Amino acid sequence: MRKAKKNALFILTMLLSLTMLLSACSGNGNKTNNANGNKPDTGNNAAPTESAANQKAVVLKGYLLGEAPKGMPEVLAALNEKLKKDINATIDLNYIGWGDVQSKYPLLLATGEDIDFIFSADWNYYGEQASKGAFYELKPEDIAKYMPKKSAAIDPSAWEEAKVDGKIFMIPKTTPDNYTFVTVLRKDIMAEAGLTEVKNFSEIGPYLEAVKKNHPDMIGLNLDSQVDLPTPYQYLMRDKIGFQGNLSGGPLAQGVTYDFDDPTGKIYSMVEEPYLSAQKYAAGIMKDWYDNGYVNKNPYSNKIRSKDNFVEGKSGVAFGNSIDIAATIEAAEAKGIETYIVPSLMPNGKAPMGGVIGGGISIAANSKNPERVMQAFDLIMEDPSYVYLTYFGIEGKNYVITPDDKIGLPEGVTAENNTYPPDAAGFWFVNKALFKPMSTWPQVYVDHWKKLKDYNTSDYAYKGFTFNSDKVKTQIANLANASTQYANPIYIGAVKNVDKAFDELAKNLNSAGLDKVKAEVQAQADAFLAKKK
Amino acid sequence: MSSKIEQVVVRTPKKAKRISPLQELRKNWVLYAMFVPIAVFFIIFAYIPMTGVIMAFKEFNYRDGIFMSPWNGLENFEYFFQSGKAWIVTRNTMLYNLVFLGAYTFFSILVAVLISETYNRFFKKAAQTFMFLPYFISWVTVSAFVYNFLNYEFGIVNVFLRNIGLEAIDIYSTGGYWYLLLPLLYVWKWVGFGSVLYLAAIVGIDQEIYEAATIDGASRFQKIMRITLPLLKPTVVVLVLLGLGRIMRGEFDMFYQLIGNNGGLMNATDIIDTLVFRSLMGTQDFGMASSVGLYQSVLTLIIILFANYLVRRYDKDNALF
Amino acid sequence: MEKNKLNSAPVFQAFSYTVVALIAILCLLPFIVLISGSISDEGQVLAKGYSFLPRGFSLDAYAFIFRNPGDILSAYRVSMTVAVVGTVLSLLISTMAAYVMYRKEVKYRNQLAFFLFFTTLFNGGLAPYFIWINSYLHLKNTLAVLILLPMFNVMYVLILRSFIQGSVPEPLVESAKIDGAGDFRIFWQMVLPLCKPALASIGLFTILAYWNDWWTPMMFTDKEQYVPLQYLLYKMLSSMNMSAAMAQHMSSLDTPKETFKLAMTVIATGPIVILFPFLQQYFVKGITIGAVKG
Repeated sequence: MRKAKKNALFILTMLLSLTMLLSACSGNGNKTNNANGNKPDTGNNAAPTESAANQKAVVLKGYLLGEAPKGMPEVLAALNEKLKKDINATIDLNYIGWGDVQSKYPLLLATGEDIDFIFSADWNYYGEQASKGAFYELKPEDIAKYMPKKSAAIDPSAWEEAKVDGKIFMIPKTTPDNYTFVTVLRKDIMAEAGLTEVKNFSEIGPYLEAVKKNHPDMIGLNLDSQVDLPTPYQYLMRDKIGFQGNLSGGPLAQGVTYDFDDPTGKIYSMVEEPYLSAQKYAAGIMKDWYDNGYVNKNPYSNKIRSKDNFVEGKSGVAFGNSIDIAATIEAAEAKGIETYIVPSLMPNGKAPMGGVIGGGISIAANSKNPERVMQAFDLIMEDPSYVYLTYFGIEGKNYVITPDDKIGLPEGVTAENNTYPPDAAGFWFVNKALFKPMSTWPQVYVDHWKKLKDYNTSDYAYKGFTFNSDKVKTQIANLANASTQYANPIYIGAVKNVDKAFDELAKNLNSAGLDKVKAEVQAQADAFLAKKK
Repeated sequence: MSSKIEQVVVRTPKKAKRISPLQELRKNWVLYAMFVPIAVFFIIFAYIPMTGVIMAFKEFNYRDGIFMSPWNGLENFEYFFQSGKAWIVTRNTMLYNLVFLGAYTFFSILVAVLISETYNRFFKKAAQTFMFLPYFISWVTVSAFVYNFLNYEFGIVNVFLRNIGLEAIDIYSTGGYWYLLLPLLYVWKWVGFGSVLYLAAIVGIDQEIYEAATIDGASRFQKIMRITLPLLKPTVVVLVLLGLGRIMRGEFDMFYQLIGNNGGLMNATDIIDTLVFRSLMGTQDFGMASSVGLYQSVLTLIIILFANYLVRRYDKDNALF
Repeated sequence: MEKNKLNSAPVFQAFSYTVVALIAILCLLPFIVLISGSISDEGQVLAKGYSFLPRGFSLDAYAFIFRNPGDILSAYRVSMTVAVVGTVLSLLISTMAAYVMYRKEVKYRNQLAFFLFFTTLFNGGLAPYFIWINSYLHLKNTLAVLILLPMFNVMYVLILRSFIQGSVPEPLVESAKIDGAGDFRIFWQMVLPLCKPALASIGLFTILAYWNDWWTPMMFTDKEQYVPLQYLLYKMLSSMNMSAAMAQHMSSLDTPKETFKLAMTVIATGPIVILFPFLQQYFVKGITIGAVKG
């Protein structure tokens, strides 16, 4: 079986290269390479010319996350046809299912063969994998040579952000992730509580009281175990300090961070001032809310997100971010629930945005065709025809451009039966600045979307800093462990005494090696800042 | 292969008191040949990849791969033993598994014996099929059900308790309930499985023994106590020994789905596997992941060798090896 | 539970029926909740939770599962092929090995047992296994990988050995040997028939293990033609959960997430409902050794 497969692949490659040779001769092959000024007849013998290099047809095998939509084969065929014409390569596209990412992703890289490119993202341990040598280093000269469109479109600082230990291992997205965390409230309950405007999450006490009094089937904050659990707590902390996450470990963990509002970027552990008092402030409010019955008692076992329960009238509040909340608002409005969006901002009224390493493509360390991968993704990410194809599918079948220049669905196609729904195929890194707006967004969401730029600040000390935890991996593991046990109850407010809970937490974090982690973060952060200047 | 063996065998002295391995092979070559398929399988799919266990002592990086990555001594074990919880979770894992094993064995035998005493075919079929159903319900779903029935605010049980004027119970903040609930759920999920095994052993018993006992005037209960249970003993011993072989491997899915990251319950319900999972969530490190696995393996090996030694001493035939 | 009361047959019978029925009902009830949940309306389940009677009848979850019937059919085919081929091979080879370890003449039988058992204790971790299977054995994306990897369970082999010990008395083997039967013939003509209940139960477990295995295909296949049923359902579920978190498009909330989980279980139970009554005959009659002797 294996032999047969290899043979088939061989024959396919031969056939493809033959076709390519022919097409190269007829002058099609170097169409995209004009930007480099490397025409076959320049007669430069120092380096093989582009089209000569592309004479060998290649199959690029790679992995994205998620699930291939039903319409994928058709889109892939169209994509490969274009790629074959432009750079004499085709893509063998595979997916790592959402449930398997944790286990399968590092393993695929560890096999070291049979893989050319893979989706990478900071939240998917890009830094960790890169520092362990999983990815091919992208040298600036290669980027300039093989990715002309990308180089033109992207802010040069993005490449800085993608660096790990001073080297680039990711082709980041061009358009930064611009979103804030948000709270969604119901207008009818706001009226019951006598609220007409909510500027800040901490003001929703009366709202939660109204939920409790008038809606016995609803819980004010119906948190789930994965995402929502620390969310209200973190929103509350943001009243006092520019907290967006820590530099050393997962989203649930307590660790080492800085004030995103502080341009000098002083590093703190989360159980020392000023963080400690910000945490205690948040913990105090959460405890009040929990004791008053505004929070569900058992978020650890609840697997349904507040935003889903919100739509069903089981949660008074929905948590999410500017991007994923769109569907919730749409569904709620469809049920006649009028919504109100409160962004969660830092004390200065801003939210740090502009990260570009939340999704990109990395090349496997042992890829035999890294240049071709770069060429391919230069097109896929930046060429409008590729971008629309990979993100929205086939025009006329999966999407249409409406007369008012928005993106809509063709007649007879609904969101449910669309075989290639936008965003679903894992090409989240394409240049979204090339998109037209969606025709289905509700007004309240469009308003929020418009206001985003007012909140946006990309001016924070460690933009693009990636912590390499290799030296303190034992301590990081223990921090994660201790946080789960001692910080989770604080997050939901289920503690008897806030001060005591923090003493306990601090004690356990310290014995887990918090100081050591802080010292390591400090050292790397100093190096980062020094280089930035 | 056999001809080669024969050549060698010819040269060995024949009348040696202890049979040499080659003589043994020659004598029973058919039997050994029958073992070859499974042996080959386990060499390929278990023993060869087992060499990767050295990763527990390595600082893995992708460039050098498993075997060439630099050694780092016992560093990969540090996080576990420095967590301050190593003893608690080891103890919890062992105790939970012992309770599970005991309860599971007791109920499986009980059900198997009782089913063998019922004669209505339809009843038997229905009962056994029903008992298999929980096996199909994943722990995620079980956890959703438990949450649905027992959550503090709207759980059916608590709504009922409040309606009759009693205090609602908050199982998700009280470790004590889980000492009972977890074994119950475990038995519920696996009793269908276990009872089938014991039932197969019961129907494997020679009917002539029962017939003889009936002629001697033994009652049904006597037959169970004097024939069925004693003849089940070998099966029980083997199944319990095999169960001990998993004593350090926690039922991760069950604990993780039912209890999750519930900090308040952790000292009561934390097992090795959940601790490791929680600690390594943010650090994809192959070495650290395999180190604790090795710790579990070594402990299990010691326990199982000891248990097997005990069995061998008192009941040689029923030992595992 | 006085002894003399239990001694009388009718009381004991009643006791047996009651206890068995009670346990069976405890196992059945959650399943009824599950079925009724799977045909409930998604919104109602989210709003009111599960119950014994469906809340707002709806087949959305099933419609969602079967929205691409071709996939389901192909997945069924893969599952069946793998389960049937795998179980037959596994049973044969396992029983053979068990028989070898049962024969007293085999001097190294305990070592052989330990050789097998040791693999349940130690493993090299996932990464070496994955690399070995993919890069050296090149089993990735083959039907063989789905059949081979879950094929043997050492526990079952050792259980089989203990069953053979229990139901094939040694003198029987001795006399067959004296009659001139070879070792393999004894296995084939005497041991196998005597072990039917054991084969039925272990066979059942093996089929179930194959049937429920989503891990092997998850790890070792990326191609649609090797996706068995459970993995297909598993994939549907995980993508449903995650796409809702990532997506900015509208379709994600309309998927029947909660009821889908339940419907998935209902569909996965298919084989047991069909298989069990069929296998039941092996668990009913006791064996009379004399009948097989000749």
